[in-house]
Amino acid sequence: MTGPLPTLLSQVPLAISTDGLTKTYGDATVLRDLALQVPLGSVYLLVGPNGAGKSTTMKILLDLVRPDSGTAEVLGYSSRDQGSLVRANVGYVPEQLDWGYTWLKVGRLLEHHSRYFPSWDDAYAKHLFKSFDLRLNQTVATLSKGQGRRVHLAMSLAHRPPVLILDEPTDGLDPVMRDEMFRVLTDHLSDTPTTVLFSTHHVGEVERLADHIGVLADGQLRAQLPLHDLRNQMRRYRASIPPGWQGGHLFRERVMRRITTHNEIDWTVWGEEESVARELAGAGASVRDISLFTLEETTLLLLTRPEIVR
Amino acid sequence: MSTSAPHRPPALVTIALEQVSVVGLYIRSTGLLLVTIYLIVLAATISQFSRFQSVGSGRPSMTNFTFVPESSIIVMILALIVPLKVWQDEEPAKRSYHWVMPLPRHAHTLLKVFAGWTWTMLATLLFVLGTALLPIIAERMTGLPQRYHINFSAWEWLVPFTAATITYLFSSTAAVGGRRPFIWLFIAVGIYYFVLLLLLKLGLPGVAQDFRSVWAGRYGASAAMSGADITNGQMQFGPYTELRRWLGVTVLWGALSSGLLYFVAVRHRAPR
Repeated sequence: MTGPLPTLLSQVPLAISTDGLTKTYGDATVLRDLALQVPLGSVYLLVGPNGAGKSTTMKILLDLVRPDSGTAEVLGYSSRDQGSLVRANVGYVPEQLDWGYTWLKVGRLLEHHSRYFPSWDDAYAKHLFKSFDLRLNQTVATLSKGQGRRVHLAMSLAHRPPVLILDEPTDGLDPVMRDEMFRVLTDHLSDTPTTVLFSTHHVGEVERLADHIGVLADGQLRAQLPLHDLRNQMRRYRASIPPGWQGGHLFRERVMRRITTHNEIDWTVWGEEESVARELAGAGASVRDISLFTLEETTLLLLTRPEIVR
Repeated sequence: MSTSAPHRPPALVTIALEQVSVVGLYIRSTGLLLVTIYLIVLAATISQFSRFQSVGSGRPSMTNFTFVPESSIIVMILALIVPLKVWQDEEPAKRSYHWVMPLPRHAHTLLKVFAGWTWTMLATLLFVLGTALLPIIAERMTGLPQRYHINFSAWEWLVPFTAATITYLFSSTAAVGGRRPFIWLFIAVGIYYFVLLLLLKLGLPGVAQDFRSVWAGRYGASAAMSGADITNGQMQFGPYTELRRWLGVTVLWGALSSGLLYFVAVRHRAPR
């Protein structure tokens, strides 16, 4: 654990796991001893700033990139040694779209893609294309970024894989199409048992779908836990304090943000609300307000350095 | 929510057929252009026979019309170009779509190479058939018996296929392994001539001759690709050729080109 928040999940069956994953590009260390744990059947939101290592982690899972050390597994298959089995079980939407088949019509690309996945559901593929407002007779090279994303997403869902790895799938989509994408994804999850590893900068949009979160910064997990734990245990406490208050040391590293003035504290604390409030009261502070955070605010808080103001 | 049953990768045969189909689609315009040029050349040749025939006294006697294995240079040029076309839009850094498919990466790469080879062989077959048909057509048109060179061995019909295959494998190695395959092919040729000239400048003609034999020796690449027997740098065909020696040199260069291709295909490369 690198901070107050848990970075390892307790005993749960995992669909995706990495152990000691380290990757460097030249002098830059992108991943440091990463232990990602995506529970089976979960929708896991991986958040982090640009360059945090999200895309590299996903590429390692698919054996597109090899780590310097450590292991990665998807559904018990080793990414490195059983890469083809991993990829057979994953629907992947990459952050960067490199087709290699830009000259093909979308319909022929779809047919080509379907040959690689014996479980391809043709009727479902057609339904997805209709939902995403895509034309089969359009050449791949003429697709806009948003259309390309939608084609990729449809192709990743149409074989109903047990695992979806979506790397910034909403990037380039307009708000209407983003909404449609989430609707399609929600429908998909309701009738196809799937584990989803999802990375996005638009955290708020995924809040309704996700049930686990991993916060990645500088190649390390700052937190990895069920989303409801994060919601339940992260609180902002505003309290009045008497002159000469001696409670500044309370909760130590569990304070995510600490603003203290001569007569008031405004702290963000990780812990059970009741116990934190009781401890503050016991130290002489008079708690005036306890507020919740949105997921977006929480991730922002975890990604920025702890703020301490006196 | 649970997760559905694990999926299996596709059958290799399915992907091989799909790759043949999709590569065929990709190179079809170039292929059609080349076939058209070839047909025009054939038609022009045939029309020349017709012209000779109409002149009457100027009738040629074409009894020495012959197929020469070194004419496989035409299909070798084709075999050099096809891999560059097949991998044109998929240099290693842009190969993530290819690599993300549920097959072992090297097997998938080799299947795509196989697809291009299939079309190269089809083009070679067309070339050989055209060459074989030409004297038959000429005979029909001129009324004069046309036949192949008396010393021409039947096995030499295979030379265009093996020559195209070896060239195709070397060219595929450059295309699969490098970002700029053309440059690598030029570099390889450049290095060959540079070393040769350097050895001659250093006053080592014997060593230069040995080095030259890598290309133009009895067991050099040139011998494999032409079917000729090369002695002291001189190519000899017909009665001088020898099936066993040609088979040996073909296997040698075939194995070398296949080994190089396998090496670059199996090497892990990360897309950007």
